[in-house]
Amino acid sequence: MYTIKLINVIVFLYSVNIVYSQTIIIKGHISDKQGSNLCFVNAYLLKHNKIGSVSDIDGNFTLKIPDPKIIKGENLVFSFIGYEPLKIDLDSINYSVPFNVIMTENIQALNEIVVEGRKSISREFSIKEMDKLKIYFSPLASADPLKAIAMLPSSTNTSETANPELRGSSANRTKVFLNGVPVSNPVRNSQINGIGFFSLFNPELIKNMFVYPSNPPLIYGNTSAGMIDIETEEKLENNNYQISASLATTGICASQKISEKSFIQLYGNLMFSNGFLSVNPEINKQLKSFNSNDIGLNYHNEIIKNVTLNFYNYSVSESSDLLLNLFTWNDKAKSKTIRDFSVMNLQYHKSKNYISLNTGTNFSRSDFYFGNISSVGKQQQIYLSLNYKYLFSEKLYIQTGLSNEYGNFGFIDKVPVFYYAMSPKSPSYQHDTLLKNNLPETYGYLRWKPFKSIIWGFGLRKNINLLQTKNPDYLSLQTNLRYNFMNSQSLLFSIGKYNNLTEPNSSLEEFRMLSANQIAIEYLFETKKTNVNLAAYYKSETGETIGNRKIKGFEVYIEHNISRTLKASISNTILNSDIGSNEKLYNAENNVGYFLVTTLNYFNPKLLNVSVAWSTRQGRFYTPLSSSIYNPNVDFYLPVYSESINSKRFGNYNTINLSLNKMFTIHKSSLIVFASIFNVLDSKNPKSVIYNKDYTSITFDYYQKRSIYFGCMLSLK
Amino acid sequence: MIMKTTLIYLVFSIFLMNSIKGNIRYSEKEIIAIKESHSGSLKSIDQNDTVLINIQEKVLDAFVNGKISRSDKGLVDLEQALLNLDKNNKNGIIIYWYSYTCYYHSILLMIEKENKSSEKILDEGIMQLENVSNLNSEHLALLALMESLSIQYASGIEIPSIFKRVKQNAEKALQLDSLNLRAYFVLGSNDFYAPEQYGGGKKATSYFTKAIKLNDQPVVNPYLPSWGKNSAYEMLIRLYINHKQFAEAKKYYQEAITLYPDDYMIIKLSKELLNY
Repeated sequence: MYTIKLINVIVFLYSVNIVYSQTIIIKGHISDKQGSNLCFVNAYLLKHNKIGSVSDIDGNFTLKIPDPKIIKGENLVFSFIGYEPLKIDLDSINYSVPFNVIMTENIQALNEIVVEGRKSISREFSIKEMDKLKIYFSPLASADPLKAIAMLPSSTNTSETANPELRGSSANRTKVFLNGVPVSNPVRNSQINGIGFFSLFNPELIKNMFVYPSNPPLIYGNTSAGMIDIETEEKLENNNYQISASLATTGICASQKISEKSFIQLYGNLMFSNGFLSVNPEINKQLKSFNSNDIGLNYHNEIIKNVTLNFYNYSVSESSDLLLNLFTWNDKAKSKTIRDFSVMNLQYHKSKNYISLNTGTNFSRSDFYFGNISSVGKQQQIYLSLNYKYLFSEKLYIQTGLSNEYGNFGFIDKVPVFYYAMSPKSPSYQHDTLLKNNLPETYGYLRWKPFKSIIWGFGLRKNINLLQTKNPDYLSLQTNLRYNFMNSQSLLFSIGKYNNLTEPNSSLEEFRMLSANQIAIEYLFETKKTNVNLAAYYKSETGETIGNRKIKGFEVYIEHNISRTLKASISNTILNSDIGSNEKLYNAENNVGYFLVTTLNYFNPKLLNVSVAWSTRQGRFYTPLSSSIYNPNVDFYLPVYSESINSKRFGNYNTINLSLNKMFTIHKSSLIVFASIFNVLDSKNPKSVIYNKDYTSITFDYYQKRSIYFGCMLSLK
Repeated sequence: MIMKTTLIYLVFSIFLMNSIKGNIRYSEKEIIAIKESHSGSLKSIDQNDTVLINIQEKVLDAFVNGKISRSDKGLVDLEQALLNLDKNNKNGIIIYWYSYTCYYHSILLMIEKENKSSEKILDEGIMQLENVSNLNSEHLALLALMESLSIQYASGIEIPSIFKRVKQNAEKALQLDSLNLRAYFVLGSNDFYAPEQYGGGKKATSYFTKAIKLNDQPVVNPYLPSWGKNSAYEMLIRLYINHKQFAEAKKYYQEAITLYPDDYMIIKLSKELLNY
């Protein structure tokens, strides 16, 4: 009995040994190219894929193959999300000892870098990024991109125009770029007082808008204050057709897909004054009529693989007729402008290389008539830039390029002999000017992300002595550092020296070199419910005819979602702006102690959406007159200004704006009705001084009085 | 151009109302039914077991248990266990499952009307996912799913942006892996609840149809996600019922019930199809 048991045990152990010896165990370790362990990777046989295993948390795997016969000609496959599958011929390796497997990220994952390459290299140093939806949802911006910027604390615009003025600098230092091409004077109807303003950009075309209120990235040139970088759509999600009608405009906008990779957008507006002026008779006293017709087209296409073309063209014709006060002359002023500008972008990318060719043209003619002044300005601008970006890795990008901005400005002017005598009978003389210039530049920009939370940028831009230019030599330099921490907070530090050449206009007929040194520190806090932005900056600007300017500013912005339907924000900018020479500084015109803006937005689609904003600031400074001298030859008085420059201040600016809207759905279409009241309390906010004939008494011209605007828009899908 | 703001405001209000219902797949009654139809025994976290094996099932078990017991302890324990596994917060797969647990935890708290806690845990899950250094296709699909749930707690003004982010992340997930059915499911769900005025409702059928044709996983791996296909079936059938295309609805119901005979939500659809 004992012997039988023993035999059984021996037979059992032997059989176990046979089974054991037949099983092949393959062991190894899996990592990526950086040496990080890859856990939970599938490891299985290609032909017998039910035999498999998964790597453990340290990247180790063990695969048991029960039948050694199947191993001949078999491949061991490793696969994992985001990595190229790896196939190892088992006949070619010694699998009896543990071996190492290195997996590489798949090409599609690497293509992410190419997608990254399409984006602006400097975007992480922008303090505000607004996509189309944010523009639409910006309270009281009326879906106008540049109006949305005017609501930011960094906007220190004191003139109720859409031309951006950022952090105390004048508009001629700030540039708006569309797809990398500068857009001169991005506003239409800028000469019309009393009905607000309209930028040239249709939000339907916009993908992203980056705001750099100071320290503009040196991948773009010719700006020494801030800049706005607008990118148009690269992909159209849906066809969309809109028809709008309001007190002053009718418009259409159609966005149509041509294929998966191409689309076209077309829009146009007719602006007229009759309806608006009859509803707002108070404004009618100054503004007699205004008209504008515009048409825009945007075409996007991937011509061949990796090559995309975007073409944008915009034409506008506008005119206005209003009462104007200049010195002591009050008369009708007529203006008319026709303009066409286009932007073309050709982009090519392959692997980590990204090349773009950007071209822009701008042709315009402006006529202006007032008293004894007649002015015809003709403007031709051509812009060209070639840019190359290389993405070493997701941590390091470089970009370099060349650009040239050609300007041809002609002025055919009849101007007063005595600048203060403007009646049609007062003497005038012909003054024609033709100015041409090229501004060739080269630049380099490096963006490095040494750690996940730190991003460093460095840029330089230099003029080139080509094309027989007479521009002074200059070098612009900048560095930016961004530190992201605690998931919701960022600190941003920027410092730099910047240069730009102004465009001539009828009051300053020259290309003038402006420079600025800037330093800024920003703090950004962003959660779902609350946003806080703080900024402190210092700027020293030189080159303007009025002298050098020193600007110190501090901004605070707090936005909070009180409930799902109620959102409030408050912002304030403390601005200290002085002009003059090193010996003596004066208050700058915009040395405004505070710019306070408070908004409240109530969102209840079932009932009504309401936005209200209260803006208040100290008045601007102006230089008073000390006396006047009579000139009997022209029967006008010569104003004699006080030596105390900008020693008087206008009264405080105060306005409350209200906007209401409601949508109705009809099948797949929607109809929106909207209304807005500007300056609800009809506050009289002084804008400029109006003198009597001998300058002995003064009254004021005011910013926009109370006005009502309403309309509707039909959207079809 | 002026005041288009309103269009988007209002369109998304409809989206908001629908999505509140849409994101929570299970009502209170349904949870109980799921529990009854759940064939496997509900497991607690066994410290001797490797937490990550069949983690998806464990999360669902903890969620169902939590609903029955009206306690989130099971999910909290799972979250803690996952955090303990990866104290440095560097392992992308563990972060994935931690966020996935947060997603169900958030839904559980939402059902219990603890909205503040629900929002907080959802935000935590989203934040952890966003911080993964190399987001893969599965991370992005889950992120899109969680962002779509976050619409519950967003103010009306923010909803369009979240809606857009959901779409972008799901599309990105597909760029990285065109066979990821979960990305198709999230895209379909997003489109399903988006109002027609904003282009919604046009592509849901095609997204769900793609999702159901794909495998749960390319290779069966108990550590990786396999969710989404049953939900895609359910929503596809519901879509056909809504459009009164009952023949199609029945066809997909037959497929679904064969694959998921115990899925309460799919079983429930049979009642709606009975009369057609």
